[in-house]
Amino acid sequence: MHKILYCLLTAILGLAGVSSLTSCYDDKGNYNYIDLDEVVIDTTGCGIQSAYSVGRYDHLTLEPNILLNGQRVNDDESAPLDYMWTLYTAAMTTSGTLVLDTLGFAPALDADITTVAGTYRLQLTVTQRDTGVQTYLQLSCQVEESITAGWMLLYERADQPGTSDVGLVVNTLVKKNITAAQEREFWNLYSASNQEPIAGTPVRIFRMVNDMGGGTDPVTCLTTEDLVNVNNATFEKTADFADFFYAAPAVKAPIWYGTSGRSARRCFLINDNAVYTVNYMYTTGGGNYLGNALTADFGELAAWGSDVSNSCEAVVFDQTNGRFYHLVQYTSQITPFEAQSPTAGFDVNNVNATIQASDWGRSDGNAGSAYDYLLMRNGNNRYLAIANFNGNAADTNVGIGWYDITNSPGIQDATSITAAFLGEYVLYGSGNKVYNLQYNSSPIATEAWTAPSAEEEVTCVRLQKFYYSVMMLAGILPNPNTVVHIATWNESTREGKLYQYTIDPATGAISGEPRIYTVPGKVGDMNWKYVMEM
Amino acid sequence: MLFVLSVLGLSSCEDNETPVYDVSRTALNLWFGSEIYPVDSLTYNYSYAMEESSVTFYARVSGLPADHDRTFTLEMVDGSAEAEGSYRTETYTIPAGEILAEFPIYFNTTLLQDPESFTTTDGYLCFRLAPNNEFETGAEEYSELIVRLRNYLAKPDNWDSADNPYLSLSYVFGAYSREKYQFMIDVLGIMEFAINGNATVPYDEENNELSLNYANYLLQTLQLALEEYNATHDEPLRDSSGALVTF
Repeated sequence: MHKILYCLLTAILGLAGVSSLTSCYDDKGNYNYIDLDEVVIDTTGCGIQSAYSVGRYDHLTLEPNILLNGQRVNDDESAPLDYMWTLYTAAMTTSGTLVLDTLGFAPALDADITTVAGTYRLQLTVTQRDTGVQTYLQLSCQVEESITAGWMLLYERADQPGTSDVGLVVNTLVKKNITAAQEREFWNLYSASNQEPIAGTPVRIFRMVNDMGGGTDPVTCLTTEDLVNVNNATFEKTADFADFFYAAPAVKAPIWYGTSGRSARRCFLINDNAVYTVNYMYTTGGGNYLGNALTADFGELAAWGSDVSNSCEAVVFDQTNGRFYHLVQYTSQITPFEAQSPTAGFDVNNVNATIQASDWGRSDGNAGSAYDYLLMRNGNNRYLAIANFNGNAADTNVGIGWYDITNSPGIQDATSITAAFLGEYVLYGSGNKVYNLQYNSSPIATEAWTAPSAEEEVTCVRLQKFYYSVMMLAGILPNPNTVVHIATWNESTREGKLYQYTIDPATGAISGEPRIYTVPGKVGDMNWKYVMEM
Repeated sequence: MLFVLSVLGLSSCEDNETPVYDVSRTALNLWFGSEIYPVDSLTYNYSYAMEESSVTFYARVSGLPADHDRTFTLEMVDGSAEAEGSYRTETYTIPAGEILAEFPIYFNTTLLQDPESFTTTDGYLCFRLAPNNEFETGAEEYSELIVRLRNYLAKPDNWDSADNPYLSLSYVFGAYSREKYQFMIDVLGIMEFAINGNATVPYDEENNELSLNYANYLLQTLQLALEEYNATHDEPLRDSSGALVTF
């Protein structure tokens, strides 16, 4: 009995103690309750889908209603809200590149979708400035690749001097089987696909034919500081400089990369004054890479090589000693040419000049071969040299023609030449003009075109043709030899232009109204991006 | 009871003499193989090199590192007389503060007294540490360097023909000669390889297989090496019949 009473008393006392303690507890907290503003992103009646499928470089416009405490504030700049549209990779992955593109900072989205093909989330983030509270709208966005054939430009970025980027113009002049409604233009393609432009200023852009049937040929971009390959559809980089080689050289100093035969399926590189070749004749597995450094007793090689020699692994020019060298197929020795006939147009072993600009063009009328056309300079003198590098190793008439064009207008400062394939003329750009030199008729060129502004300088002129003759003969290249592309640069406005005209393939007469594009940089080279389309 | 236990405890404590390492003794252990996996001997094949090449041995100090460089030499204590003059050793140095290093023993094919030596029967050489003031001979199992000598080269089975998808070596490298193959091994550092028409990489090191394009790259490498060889020797490279070696 006593025990029971004792326990009961203990329990009672305990409970009393606890309750007294709690009842004496003062709430010492200091809370400040703030009523938050209510932000709602309302898509009702805005025509906004929950998921989108767009082509790369399509333009997307969306505008949901932004409600702040029930009031629409899309057009109210005083609303204390910040807006940000982003596009980011939807799938989490431990490999590959995760994309996060910022598309805009307004309630409405009005932007090009330039990221590579893939699955993404499109997100609008509305942030209340006072509290930092964020409200989101998330949509699915599938991007489809849409880059095929067209006219490529490699230009020095106006906004990032010293770097290069890629543009692609797609219209009925340069791509088959499209309508005007399907015409597109793409700019800064390389950086859009690789997060940054290419270091260096433009030298060459080229999609060479080495695996025509497989469709794997990349686009090669050469600048003054780098050499890269990109996927021809996405423009994502697939090869750095070192990836071109079986064993990369210690010094990275490429100055030329090109083909060495319209049908020979070889490419070669000039790097650190040595020549490297790669043979695409064998498409067996294991890849094709540049081989050993090949040198000879030559001086400094020019940043030039023949793209159209049918019988050589490479043709290069020793500008120190004024002689051409070649690498005969299946050999490893770079040698001068045989002693030339005194009746040759000029002696390729004794050229008293350096190369100012170059192109390939008409041969003897044979559609399967081409000659090299070189604007040469010696002091104030200028010459047009025409050479045929298609002969065998014993050829003694490599030099076809040597024309003194010193007095041709603007030739001193010519920046670019293009040689006709179906006529006997070259066009060259100088100042704000393009000149037409009918070299077999007169050493004095005539004005063919003048830029609309005196401040525009012609930086690149190219006829629409392709070194791989099959492309022209089979009608794969649209409008072969009948379109001329003229690129200009205005230093004061820091704006480039591309003018595309119809041209008479036999005479070089430019006619009609141009297609005009604004280029975000200074064009260094242009070329047709081949795609097998019949 | 307590008194008994304490007496027993005291009597069990004695000082023993602890042996210490004799720091005055320094020996040198020698072996072929890798740093941690020694082998009993090594084989050197004169046919794998046009001129001079080498084998590598390890030397580890059994003792303390020193504050100065320590040198040693080898002496050939037993071996095939025919090898005389075709090999050389050096004065080797264990740098101050170090206890382990690798060193070469050189062999030169062109200095064989008889070019036919060891073509049918193997020879051997046995090296030991030459007496010196710095090191004593190491443990017995690390006291000798035995090199077995050979001088024969077999024509690869796949030189003239190969089953699809493989290609014969002659398809890329031309007609066989012992001297050509020896030159290839010397320049390329690979032998008994195959050319696989279905290769997925340029050189499959595990299977010793080349892609056709890589084989052509090696062909170019050999062409350049042969040009240099011929330019730097009194006589261009010829095979046993006297014909010029070409690629």
